[in-house]
Amino acid sequence: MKFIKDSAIVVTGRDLGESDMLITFITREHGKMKAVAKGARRSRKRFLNALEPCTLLDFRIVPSRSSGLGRLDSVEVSENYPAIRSSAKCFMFASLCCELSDLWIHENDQAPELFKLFQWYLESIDKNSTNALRHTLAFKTRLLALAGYRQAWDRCVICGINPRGSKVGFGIDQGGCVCSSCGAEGMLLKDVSTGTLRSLAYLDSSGLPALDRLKMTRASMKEAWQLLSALHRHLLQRTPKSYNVLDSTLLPELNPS
Amino acid sequence: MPSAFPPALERLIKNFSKLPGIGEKSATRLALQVLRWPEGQAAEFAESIAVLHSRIRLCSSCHTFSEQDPCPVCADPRRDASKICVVEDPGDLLAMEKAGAFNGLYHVLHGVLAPMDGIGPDQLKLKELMQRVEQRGGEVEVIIATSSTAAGEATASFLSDMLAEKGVRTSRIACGIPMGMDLKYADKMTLQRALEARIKY
Ligand SMILES: [Zn+2]
Ligand SMILES: [Zn+2]
Repeated sequence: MKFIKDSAIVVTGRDLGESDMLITFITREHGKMKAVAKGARRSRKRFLNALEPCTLLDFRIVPSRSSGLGRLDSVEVSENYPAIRSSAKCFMFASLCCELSDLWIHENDQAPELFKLFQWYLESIDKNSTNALRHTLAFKTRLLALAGYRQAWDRCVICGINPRGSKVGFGIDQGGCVCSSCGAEGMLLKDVSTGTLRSLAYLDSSGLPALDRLKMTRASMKEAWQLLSALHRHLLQRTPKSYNVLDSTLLPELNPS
Repeated sequence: MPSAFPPALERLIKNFSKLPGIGEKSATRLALQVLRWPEGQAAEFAESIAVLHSRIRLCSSCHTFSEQDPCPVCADPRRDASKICVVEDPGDLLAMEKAGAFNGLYHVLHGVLAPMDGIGPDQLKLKELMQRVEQRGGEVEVIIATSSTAAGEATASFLSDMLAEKGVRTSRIACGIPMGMDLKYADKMTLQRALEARIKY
């Protein structure tokens, strides 16, 4: 029998029919894939805790003979990031990243960069939860770029110059900041701090190990979070459910005390 | 495609298939079974569903399903009110009661953190738990008995942070090798957790 073998991160699991589960993976070589885990709900023994979101595993899938869903044949867990599940905040951040990955990437779209980014992200917040917010911001920023929506964070999207002053407008439709002499039509966020935009540019393009050198105030992190959320909502044309949960638990913490 | 069944039967099949774990095949089998029953038995079945919502409410203390408020457990003076065991849903409470291993009170959260389904702390009965704890002036031990799934663990961590802030004594039920299991077949995470939760002889 011909199997599909790959490494993958579980992003979602949904009940399917009477005893099965439909699992969505971000794989190393096959992009986003869905597969049926037969009997996963009836007996926990077969797949144990392997199919929970944010699990890194190697799988073997039997492709369907028609063009339908493949069947999960076996899985072997490489890492389940125990520190993420023992911190509610990390768990909620990681859940958001799972949901966003699922929404942004179409099935069978190649996504080797996303797999790498995701693996780095899970490892880093598992190792050190104090940087979880910053790394989640980096994940959200880079996911936009991977999906083909890299933003012009610190150069005017129309004329290309670095905006002067401490505040600038940000064109959600245009995909970048807009200097005062250019001006933009459509959805414009006014008075975004240029410091926050420079931080976002850094989160977008610095080497991953260098991320921790970035200094951001709480107010700036909050502004970055809200700007990224607005972009994700606008471009996906829906509100990811995790945002509703995180906005109500996280944002109050970022208010100046 | 027009259904092969008369509309009344089709309606029951549709309703059965809304239940978790019931697909169309099982729903059809169940509906046909109900049809084969004597009329009185079917009527009793229907009536039992009809009165459910009017009879059963949440206990205002522990939030389990109950016909009385407070529920029989909360109302029982022999229960040890200095211990509150936090569970995900009424089914878990029932399992604990059946085991008969716990003599304290319960608190039902009605779920666990599941951001992807839009369930955060505000959707769980957490504020209600904090109120109960405060009513006892903090003189209580809270035992967290959520599942050892990722969501159950994360919920336990959220809860223990919240309780620690108030200085409440908190514990988590142990997690590890199930009774009667051969060690060889345990996965890596289970073994790690079992070692962490080891106890002194
Ligand atoms: Zn310009
Ligand atoms: Zn009660």
